[in-house]
Amino acid sequence: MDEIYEANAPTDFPAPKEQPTLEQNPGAGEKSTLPVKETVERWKKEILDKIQFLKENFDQASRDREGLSREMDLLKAELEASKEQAKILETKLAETLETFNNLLDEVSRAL
Amino acid sequence: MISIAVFSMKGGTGKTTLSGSLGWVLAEQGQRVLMIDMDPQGHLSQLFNVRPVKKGQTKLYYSLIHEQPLADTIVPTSHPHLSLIPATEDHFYLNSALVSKPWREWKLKDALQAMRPFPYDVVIIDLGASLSLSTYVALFAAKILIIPVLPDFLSYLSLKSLFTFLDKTCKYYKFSFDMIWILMNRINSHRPLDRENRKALEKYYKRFLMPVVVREDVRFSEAARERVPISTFAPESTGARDMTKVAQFLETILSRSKSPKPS
Repeated sequence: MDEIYEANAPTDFPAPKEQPTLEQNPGAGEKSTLPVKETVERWKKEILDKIQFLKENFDQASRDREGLSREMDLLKAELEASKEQAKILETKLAETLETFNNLLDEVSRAL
Repeated sequence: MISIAVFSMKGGTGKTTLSGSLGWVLAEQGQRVLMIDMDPQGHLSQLFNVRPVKKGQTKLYYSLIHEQPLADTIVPTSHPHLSLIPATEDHFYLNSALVSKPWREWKLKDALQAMRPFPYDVVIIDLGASLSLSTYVALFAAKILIIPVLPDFLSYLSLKSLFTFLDKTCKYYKFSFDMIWILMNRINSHRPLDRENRKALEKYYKRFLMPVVVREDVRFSEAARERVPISTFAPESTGARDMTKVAQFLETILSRSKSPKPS
């Protein structure tokens, strides 16, 4: 593969007046180390941020779950109480209906 | 005043994206920047969502052809330190109109020099990928040439042609840039071909290869869609950080330069 590049290597070069040599280029020496260090530091920060974010989310979810459990218990108790109340009301309704029927019978007999 | 032309003969190397991002980063760093959109397609003007603001405002075409003041063509952008001379549809006819003009290749350079006092620190000229008279006009107005290249073989071939062209042209016109920098764009070091291409450039173009690169980043395209420079759209992105490094490199190298004379 290198031959392709060599065969097409430049033959003519312009001559800029103030072109510095590569050794003088700022950043040339840092190229191999600084970006890697920066990248690792950035990744480390991103991972720690993500862990913190997930931990906060998990804690919040646990708190929400506890709250929801308590609310569910309350609703269950209310449901049981409502069922009892419904039974009482059914009994009362039956008694009322019986009284009404008795009254109708008496009215019929009186007429 | 430092004038920078961003040019490559190969299309799609990121000339407009890089010049726009570089101009914005330099403006954010406090430089007063003037950008000139010399590409008839006007993508730089589109990128900044800019067009001639006043009805009847002088356009670059009239400034160059009829020698009207270049200052009248400048429009502001959303950044207070960044101004732009936008491209208009007249640019399509610029080459034909320039043909009959004397000293045509130096029109833009003369127009820039005629602006006294010059209110900008940096001028960035974005060119199209063609080799035309307006390309000469833009190149001869610049002191620094930045050549964006992609890490592929066709870009490598194109670079050889461009260097031959620059060598011959500079000799013929007795012109020389202060500096020429090859800027590798959209490089992904995970790809073996990209690494191979970079090695070849380091070997054969060592003197001209910028030691900082712009890595592949989809945020450039996303920012362009929103018409926002990447350093604003995604300041922590790879692309934005790389553009900052390019700007820092240029600032450092220019401050080291012995005589940053007005061009």
